[in-house]
Amino acid sequence: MKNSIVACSILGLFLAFQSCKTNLKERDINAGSADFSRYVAVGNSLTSGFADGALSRSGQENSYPNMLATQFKLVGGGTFSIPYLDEGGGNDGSNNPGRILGFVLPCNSSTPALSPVLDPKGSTPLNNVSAFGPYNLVGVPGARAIDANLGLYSLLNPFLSRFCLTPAVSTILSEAMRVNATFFTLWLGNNDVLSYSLGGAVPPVNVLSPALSDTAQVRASIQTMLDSLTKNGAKGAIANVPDVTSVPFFTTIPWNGVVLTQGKADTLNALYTANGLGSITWKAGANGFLMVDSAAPPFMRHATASDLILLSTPGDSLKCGQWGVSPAKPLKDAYVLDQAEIATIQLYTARYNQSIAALATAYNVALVDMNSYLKTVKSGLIFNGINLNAVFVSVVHLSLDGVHPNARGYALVANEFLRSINLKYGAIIPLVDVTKYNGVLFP
Amino acid sequence: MKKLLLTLLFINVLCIQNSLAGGFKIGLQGQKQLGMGHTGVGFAQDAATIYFNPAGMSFVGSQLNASLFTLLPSTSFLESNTNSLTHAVNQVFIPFSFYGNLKLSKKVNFGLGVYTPFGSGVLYPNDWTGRYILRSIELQVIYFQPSLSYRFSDAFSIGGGLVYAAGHVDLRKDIPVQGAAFAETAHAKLYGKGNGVGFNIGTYIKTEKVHLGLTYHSRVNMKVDKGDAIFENIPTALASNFPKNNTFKAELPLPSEIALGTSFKISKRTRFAADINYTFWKSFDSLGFDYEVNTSTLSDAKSPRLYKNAISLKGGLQYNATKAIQLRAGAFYDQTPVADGYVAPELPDNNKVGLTCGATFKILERLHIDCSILYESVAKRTQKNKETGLEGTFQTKAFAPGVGVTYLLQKRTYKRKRY
Repeated sequence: MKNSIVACSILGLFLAFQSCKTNLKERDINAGSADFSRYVAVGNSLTSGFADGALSRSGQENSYPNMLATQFKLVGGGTFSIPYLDEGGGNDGSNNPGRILGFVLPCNSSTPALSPVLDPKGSTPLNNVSAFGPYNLVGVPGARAIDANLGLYSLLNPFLSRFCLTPAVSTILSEAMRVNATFFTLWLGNNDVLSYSLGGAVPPVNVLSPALSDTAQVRASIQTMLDSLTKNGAKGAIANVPDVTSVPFFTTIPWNGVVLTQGKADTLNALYTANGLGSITWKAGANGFLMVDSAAPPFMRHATASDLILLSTPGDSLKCGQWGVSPAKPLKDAYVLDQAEIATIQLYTARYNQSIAALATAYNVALVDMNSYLKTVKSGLIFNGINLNAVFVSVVHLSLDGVHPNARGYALVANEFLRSINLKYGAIIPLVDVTKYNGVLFP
Repeated sequence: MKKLLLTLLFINVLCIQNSLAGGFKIGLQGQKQLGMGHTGVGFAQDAATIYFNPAGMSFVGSQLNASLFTLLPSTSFLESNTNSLTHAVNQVFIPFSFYGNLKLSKKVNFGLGVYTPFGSGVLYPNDWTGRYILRSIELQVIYFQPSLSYRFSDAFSIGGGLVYAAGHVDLRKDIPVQGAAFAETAHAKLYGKGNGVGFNIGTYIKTEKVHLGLTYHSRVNMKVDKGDAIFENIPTALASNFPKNNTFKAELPLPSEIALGTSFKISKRTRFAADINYTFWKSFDSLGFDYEVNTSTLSDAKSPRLYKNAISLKGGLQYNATKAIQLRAGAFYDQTPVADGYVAPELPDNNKVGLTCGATFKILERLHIDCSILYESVAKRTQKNKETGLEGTFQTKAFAPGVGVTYLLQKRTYKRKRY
């Protein structure tokens, strides 16, 4: 009797302790109808992990394909080979390092201000790693969709020639095919509008000038890629082109950055009248920058809320060099996107995206709608207590070049891919924990 | 039987005791009461009635009553998107109570209660996904309540007490700002001491068969006037955004509550008690920190809580097993004041069910040992927080045993029961 009571008590005690523990369990995960054993990621700078104005080792590690590959490994994914650069400040393709946030003395102040500066670590050489291929990460900074099937392109682009099998013969597509992938992600088309936009939508002078790619050529090129990539039954996901004009590169400098006192405005008005430019007037308070416009009568006018001033405009010239203020120094076309130019860029983006959507359906692959997603991020997104928005140099998801995401932003991109893949293939792959990745590093 | 009871006592000492009632209220104000599902508004049987219903003091002899609880909550969180499971770090909380009841005259009783009716605490691992929302919180409040009761007749009394509350809050979270020179992200610590006042009044009706009680606990506004706001790992570039030696003001309204209770004999040896409580949580509509120095990145934080008033139902039985031993069992249901979309890591609340048992051993005529055990389960709750976007499932369980002593200051005047 005594023993049984003791035994029962011990058992009771044990059960009591057991039942006080929570019993939450992770959900079961699976690959759905997809096979992630050999994954290849094809794309441009966004796919390579380009950030802060350069490709670097840490950028490659924090690229969205590397994050995806890590998640795919949870559901049967294999090794993921990356054409790594050596540690260092990175390389922008012209042997300049990337940027970090530092202090710069502005021309109009004695207090140093936060500003992107070149990484003092210096640039990292573009080492040739073609002997160690093939690579699962085929991300080529600068590549347009229409470049993907050109052999000559691998000779011209140093980021591709450093890891491809045979420069001048290999193409982005042929590199991707070497992996014999069972699953692919494809994200091209950004540079088909972006390089033109970054250059201020200046009309092309020759065949090498940035231009908007022909929509039919973009479609044909992406179709060829999908044709080859799906040939052996591989499944995949294709992302569309975000609205490039919404990134901080185009939205950081305000159109009405000329702030004047009444006295200063009077002086300017007198000067303009004296030069026969009386149609352009200045007022106290905020004024639009003076910009070149061949359609306006004196070939210049004030910038309006419909114009975007590019981040490439020399900041000190704006602040102290009378740029955009003096009648002799209107902002050049290369530093401004006007309303018509923006409309053209957005029209081309929309046409590319129509093609991409149609091809995604035709080849039965997942469509990742980055265009819509990045709009939601732009209007403010909160992730587990982190406020993310597209304000330049803040607690955000974009890197110091004003175009490419930082590690935190690439984690958001990876999650958007995962959501589409989960939906399309009935997979349950956990998303990436965005809080584990850094935003901008502050000095 | 005796062996079994000793074993029960042994379990009580080994384990620890407590209950987190709805919201951040702690239902651990008396051993005998907890044993019966934390009832006691209509059943004054020891000095803990100073909390449950101060009018009950008139029907309890002069005595001292002290008890200690140890609360071991276990909280887990499954993030829906990343499928990652976080277990909060195991912590021990020690709510306690002390009550003294003194018969000043035939009509008047004086009493003092010191107890811990509110509190909360949770500590998450350093790298958990919600670290920018909360790393840890500790809220502790002690009530001091001097009280008087007046006995109009053998069947009716009123009582009341003033409440002085003192406590502290300690909240830590990470800030999503990373300095190039730091290994870890920026971090905020908010620590402040506060106090507030209120009252507690009640009335008690005692008939031969049935006891009835009604109590009102007033709201207590805990005010922190000059808490410390400390920011660590702040990059030089942002030093002016997070000023050093900053302070904050905060106000935490501890809600008012009305409680109705009854008890009656259901057999010669058995008594049943039941309480119904209604807590006016609506007063807790937001949690705000008002910083002394504000900057572009450090604005006064006001995050909505929008608590709803909540009801709780409790019931318990007491069985006089022998002349020297009483056994108890009880249960309660607590409605959560936290609405969907507002469940936050600082209080992963939901409706909860508690099971309790307890015993009293009259080891000397004047000295009694009380003990009780609580098992509490906060139902799993899956939701997405509207403010922070944190999406997932919280689950909390608590197991809590406790022990206390009651010392009678006067000899029993009532007739010994014979069995």
